[in-house]
Amino acid sequence: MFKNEEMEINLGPQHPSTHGVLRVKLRLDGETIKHCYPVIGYLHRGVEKICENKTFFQGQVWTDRMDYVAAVSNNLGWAEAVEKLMGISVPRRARYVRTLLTELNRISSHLLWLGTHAMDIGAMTVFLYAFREREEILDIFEAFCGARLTTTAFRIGGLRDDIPPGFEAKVRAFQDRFLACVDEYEELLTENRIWKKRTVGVAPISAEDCIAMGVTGPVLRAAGVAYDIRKAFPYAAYSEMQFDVPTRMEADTYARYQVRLEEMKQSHRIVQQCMDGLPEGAVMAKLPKILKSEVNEVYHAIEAPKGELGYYLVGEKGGVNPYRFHVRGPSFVNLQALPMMTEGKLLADVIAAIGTLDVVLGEVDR
Amino acid sequence: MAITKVWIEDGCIVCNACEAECADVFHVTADTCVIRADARQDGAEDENRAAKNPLKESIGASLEAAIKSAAAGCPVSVIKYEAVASEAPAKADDVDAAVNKALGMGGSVDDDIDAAVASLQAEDGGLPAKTGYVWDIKAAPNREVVMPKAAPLPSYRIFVAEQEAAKAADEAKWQKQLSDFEAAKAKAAEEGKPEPKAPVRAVPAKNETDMAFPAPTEAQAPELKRLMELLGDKVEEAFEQAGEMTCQVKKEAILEALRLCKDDAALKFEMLADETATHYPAAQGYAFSVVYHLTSVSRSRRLRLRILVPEGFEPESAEQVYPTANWLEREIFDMLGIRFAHHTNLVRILCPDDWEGFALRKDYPTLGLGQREISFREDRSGMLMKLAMEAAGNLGINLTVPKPE
Repeated sequence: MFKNEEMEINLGPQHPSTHGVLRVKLRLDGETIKHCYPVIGYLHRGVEKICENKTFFQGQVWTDRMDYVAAVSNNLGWAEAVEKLMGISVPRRARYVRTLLTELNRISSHLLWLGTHAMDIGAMTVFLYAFREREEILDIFEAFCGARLTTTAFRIGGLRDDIPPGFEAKVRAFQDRFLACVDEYEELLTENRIWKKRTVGVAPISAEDCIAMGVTGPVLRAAGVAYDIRKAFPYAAYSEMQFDVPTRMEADTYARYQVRLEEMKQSHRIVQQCMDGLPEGAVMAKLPKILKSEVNEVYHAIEAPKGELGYYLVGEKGGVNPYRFHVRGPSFVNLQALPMMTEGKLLADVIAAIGTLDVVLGEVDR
Repeated sequence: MAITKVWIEDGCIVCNACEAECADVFHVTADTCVIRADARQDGAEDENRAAKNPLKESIGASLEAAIKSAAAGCPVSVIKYEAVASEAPAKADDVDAAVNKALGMGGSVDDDIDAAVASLQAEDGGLPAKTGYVWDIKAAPNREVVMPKAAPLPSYRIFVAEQEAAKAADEAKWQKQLSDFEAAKAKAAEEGKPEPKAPVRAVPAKNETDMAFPAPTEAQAPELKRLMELLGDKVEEAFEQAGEMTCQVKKEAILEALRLCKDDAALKFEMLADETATHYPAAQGYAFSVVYHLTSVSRSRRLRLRILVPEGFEPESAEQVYPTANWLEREIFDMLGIRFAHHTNLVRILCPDDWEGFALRKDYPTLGLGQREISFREDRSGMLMKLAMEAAGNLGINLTVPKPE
């Protein structure tokens, strides 16, 4: 009659829904997943080794290329980790501008996630809406530093230049428009019956499992844990900002969607506060021309759009490059939870699960 | 070592870094950097790219460290130099020797690593012989690696010993200056000459930058005190630096320490945020440090646990306490070759399964066999192809120039 043996299939590495080159080995019983095993490393470039052989200034450009949709966050982590290693104090104005750009980057990263995740699941229109606003943010980055994706936006000790003329008007124009745009996405998705069928109750992971697997970011917050590094270990100018940490209790794909939408609104709030309260003053600390470290080790983590992005640096005496550099990428650690979220569920849910984890393979493989 | 020649390649961005570092040799003009006339034997002042005129010997010897530092710090890496080994054997640094003495480690830090590796390889069941990435330096000279001379292990104990040694060396220098002065004075009085100038004690330069090195301090945090109390003599060292807590425990006790950190009501570090390792080939008694960054989500605190492991030692896998360590330890194994005991699936994760060598060890070269650093500024009309064919020849591959059809 019917054969009932299990079948093994490969999802990826070139499947468009894997957001890069992720390969997932799946063992299926009918449409049910019995075993899920992610295989990574296709984009491994050895960023850590390269940065250990470059000076502290040169290392920053490599951080752009890890999570390439959130390069500004990566730059911020690098600059702050090096500053912590050497004990550099950054001017307040520079910290405000850094916060502003990082929050705009969080919005742009979430917009890319929203567009591609919705497209994976079958809602094509949202993609076009989301990319419309993302384009505007990339224009702001271009006005600030000349690059749209690989920004290298900051310098160790502050900023290379102050904000350019016309920058403020650009940001304010975006700010005025953006909240109405979020309502547009919500109109398209939040009460959409097909969207809800594909996301409600799909790929759940409990708060205990999240913490055991080291999962951070919106996935953890959608499970009810209000852990946000901006609040827990404030950096840049976040200690001076008013914002909420959105959480949900359902811990499913739909809850993560709600958390990310709410986060965009909170980021919008922070950007507004940065613009209104931007202090006067210098944007660069006084530093020697050649930065030399002492023997020290630091672990500095920031709340990247995807979760906890940690940089571990070891300095040697008189060294112009780090003795050891290690990246704790949120995508890398979060992806580890994929089997936990999908085993026993349906094949179609794997696509939703990869999308909802919001991994960027450039950061997973480094 | 002494620098014989120094020159500037094409592509200087006029950043002034080299002049700030070593103004006696480098001078930055409006569009490039030049080697000062005073420093050169021919007395010309230009980039010295074509001529490669040698430096004055006194300058090459006395400013060696500054020139090397400027070359290393050049953001576009256009400062090149040639150096020769000086004939006199290099003396062990006074401070290093004093530190070793203070720490009870006999001998110089510059131990013979190769000899140590060879003796390990000779033993049965010792270090796996370097069957992996054996390379022929002659065929691919750019694979040569510069091994670190010191092991920069952050530690309060070592820091204090270093400070005391530096203070003692400074005091000894001052005493010598004083006695020299007394001798010179007595001699001058004998010969009826005017009295020589009294020495002035050098004061450390004032820090005019916004940079202040965060020195390590003794453990004050309640978490560290609690750990020391619970683990007793299994704690090797605990200190704070740059606002971070570090607790170094005995390598056999790591599992116990992790369990305590997770379960103890006063500690409650629920999450293992990160685990990684560092290679210290120049260290004595250990080869790697493995660090665990723990986060307490409920109390917003971070703690770093650290163990020092020698080559071949297998620490217990943290996966038994924190499941997230699975991939993190696979990455450590992949990149540094540390094996963990009781790990459920210790296979390579980022590199392919048949990869040879461990890329983040300090003895692993940054360039591949036959690979070379490409300068995009050099002539593109055939130079690169010529070099690529030479490199391929080193590998025994015969490339032919493609002919247009």
